[in-house]
Amino acid sequence: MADPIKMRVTLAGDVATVKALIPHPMETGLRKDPVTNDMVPIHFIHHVVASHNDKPVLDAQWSRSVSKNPFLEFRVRGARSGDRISIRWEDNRGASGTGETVIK
Amino acid sequence: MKGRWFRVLVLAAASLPMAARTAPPPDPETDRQTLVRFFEARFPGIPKDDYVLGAFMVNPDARRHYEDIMSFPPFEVDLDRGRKLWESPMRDGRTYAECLPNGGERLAGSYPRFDETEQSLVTFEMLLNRCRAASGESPYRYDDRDTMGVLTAYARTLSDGMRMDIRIDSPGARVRYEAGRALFYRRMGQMNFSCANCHIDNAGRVMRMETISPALGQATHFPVFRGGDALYTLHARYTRCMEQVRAQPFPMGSGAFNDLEYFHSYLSNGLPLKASVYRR
Amino acid sequence: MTLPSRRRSVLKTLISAAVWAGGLLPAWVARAAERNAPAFDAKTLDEGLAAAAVADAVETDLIVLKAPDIAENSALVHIEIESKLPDTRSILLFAEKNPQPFVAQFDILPGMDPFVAVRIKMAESAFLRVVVRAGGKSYVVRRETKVTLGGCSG
Repeated sequence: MADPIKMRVTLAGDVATVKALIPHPMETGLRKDPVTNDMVPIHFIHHVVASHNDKPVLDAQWSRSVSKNPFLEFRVRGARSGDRISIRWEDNRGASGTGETVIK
Repeated sequence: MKGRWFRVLVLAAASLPMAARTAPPPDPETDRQTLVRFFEARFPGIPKDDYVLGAFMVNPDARRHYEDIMSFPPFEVDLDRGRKLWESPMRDGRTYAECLPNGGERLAGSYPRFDETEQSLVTFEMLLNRCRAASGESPYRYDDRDTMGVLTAYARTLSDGMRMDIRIDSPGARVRYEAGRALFYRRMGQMNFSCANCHIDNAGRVMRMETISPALGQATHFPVFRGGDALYTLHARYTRCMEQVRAQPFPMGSGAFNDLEYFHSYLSNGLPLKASVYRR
Repeated sequence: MTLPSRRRSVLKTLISAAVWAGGLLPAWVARAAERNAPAFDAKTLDEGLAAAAVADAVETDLIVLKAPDIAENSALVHIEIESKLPDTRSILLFAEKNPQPFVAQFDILPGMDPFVAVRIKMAESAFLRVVVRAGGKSYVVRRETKVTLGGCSG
């Protein structure tokens, strides 16, 4: 989980469009490792919270069906330049990560 | 009677537009223009620059999806790894940008290039390895996705928008071009297919649920990330194609693939480069 | 007697908030709605819809579901969802033929537009189903996405 969340925010009026890429393998538990031929254990982000200036605006529950290196786009209303957008995730093994960006 | 036979011959020639070649090879630019006109006739109304989209250029639904993916592709994570390699100083403290002409920008479209001193081709990836050698580093393997793969996947983005500009301006260069051309048209493998059989004769047609991309434009957009995830350099793609026709692939970085890349890239002269991209 | 699931999750959130106020959980976890494990674990669409309490959703044209007609690669299907229903609280996404059809739930809190884009895996050609909880009711829209398996397997 060394790779940080990548975020891009564009502001149009007071609506901030947030696009994020969360580096994560999102293993379904249904795939064989092509080298060892063992099943790769299930490993996926199951919970994501996005916040605007620390106030949660999006609370998402995910399954293993979300793609590898998940992409998430959402729109925050009432946003202004200088506001902070943050994303926090947790996976089924209890690992977590956060990312934050300031709206330009 | 004579007229009927003539029609049959014309039909046969039309159905094998590029494959049947016995005459001495035409000059490269004439050859390329013939191919461009062939594709213009097959894909009427498609803007030239759209050829870099491959099969997406004839499929609006797939093209929209491609653009959605490209708006923030999952492999940006891999490109970041490539950028780290690109920016890290090598043993003597120099970076690739300091080693390469023009800081490594707007450069990839001039490669492969024929080196008159060495009388051999230099690909963009070989150029990166030459920088490594000059800085006291060992070369990266051409089939290693985690080193050369991600490095070139990032480095080639610095040439985005540059138009392909492959030069064949010496007898030695022409020899390599002809070798690449011969390889492109040579049938091989248990399936007995040439590159041209699929990517000229059958371009735009659907074979086993895949729309086949035209040869024109292919060399402009590698590496690709298949499924947004699996990195394929151009030589890795050649390898896969050879496996698909059940031929024994040449090694990545081999002289044969370099020749092929030289000819293949020349076909795309004038088209804008765009690396690295999503493919299915 | 059991509470309807939404009221129950609100209650849980309040309880969690109280726990958080006591310093037992980090704030972001405490704010989270309870994961509806039975719905996510359900192996069929009907079980998933029932467990998510959205089996009675009514069809609407006020949900925009954008997805490719043909998904070229089943591991990466880009989907956009926008609800034009007033008081949209949750967006639920199902891939009807996935081994576990319930893919994701997005709870829209105040300050967010009822729009999300996400990329998902699809096991096979199937209808995608989006259910929106708005104004105390559930609404649904469906759209078919065909998956072409890699034809060039060699």
